[in-house]
Amino acid sequence: MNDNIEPEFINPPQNLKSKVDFNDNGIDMAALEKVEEGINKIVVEKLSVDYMETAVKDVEKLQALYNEANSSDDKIKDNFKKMFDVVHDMKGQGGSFGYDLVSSLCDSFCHVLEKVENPSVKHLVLIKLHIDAVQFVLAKEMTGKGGKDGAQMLEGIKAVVAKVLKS
Amino acid sequence: MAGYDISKLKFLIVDDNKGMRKLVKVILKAFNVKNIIELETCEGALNEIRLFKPDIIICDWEMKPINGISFVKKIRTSNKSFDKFIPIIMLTGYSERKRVIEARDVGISEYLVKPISSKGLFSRIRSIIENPRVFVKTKDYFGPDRRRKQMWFKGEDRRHNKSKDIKAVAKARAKIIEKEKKKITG
Repeated sequence: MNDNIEPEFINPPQNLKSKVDFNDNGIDMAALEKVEEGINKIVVEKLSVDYMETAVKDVEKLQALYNEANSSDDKIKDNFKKMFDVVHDMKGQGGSFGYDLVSSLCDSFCHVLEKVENPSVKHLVLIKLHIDAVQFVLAKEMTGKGGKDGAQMLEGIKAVVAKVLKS
Repeated sequence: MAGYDISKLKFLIVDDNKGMRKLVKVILKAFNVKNIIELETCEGALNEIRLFKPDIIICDWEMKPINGISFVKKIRTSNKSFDKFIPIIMLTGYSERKRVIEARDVGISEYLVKPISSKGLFSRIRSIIENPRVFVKTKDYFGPDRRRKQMWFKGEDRRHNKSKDIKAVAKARAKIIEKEKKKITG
């Protein structure tokens, strides 16, 4: 096959500028600030209730996968993959609904699930640690980054992860 | 002060998570957008594109059975695709560089990492409106030009992805720039 075929540049037929106006009803920086404030209020007052229900169910799924892996070595590898799908979703949702600490914990959780190529029983300690931490944050409704306690929790977990993954 | 009025644009949201779909919809409504459709699967979205004719698609990455990457590929390259040029914003929890490159290489228009914020989403929409990119068709790629800024530069192209495909685009672009340069300088 000829690799030297010249690329073709094509102008898209539709230009969105023709559908967009620039007027006083539009969104400028000040309007955007107001939108951001309004959204945060809606998230706290309405959407976080739905989020909490979903997050609690996700933690239950993780707990079930952990229990299964803990009782059967054959299940560890498969269940790590299954857990990744759940945790990755939780990572994206947490901060979107005001639970930034959940996102940070799930980021660390994803790191463990991705980094370990051959998961074994010793790695299950890390899984349990993350599940318990996320469950605690949700139960205590620690919104945002969780303040000083949240920072300490995250720092502690990262230190344990580093130690176990190094060993 | 005047700002962008995007109320006439039509948006299609594809995310398997109900809460995320709801949140994106709330944000778009706050931008005064009226025409919004939300779907939880890519299969449904592929059918809906034909009927709804969205101006912009916002889609998640991790979905089943078709994920966001395959969805974008189908839109950009399938013969059955209704509109190969639709701007697509990928909204995902993946922030790693390799993932961003993977999404770029299937032809997304913009990339936005979750957690989502209204400012983040609006900046991506504004970028699509203000900087519509020319599409590139090569042997291995069809999608928005992966180099955003058109500029003259001296020396070797030091981009990280040096596939034959990208090199060919760079070579063709250099030729065009050279022609333009000659026109200007005589």
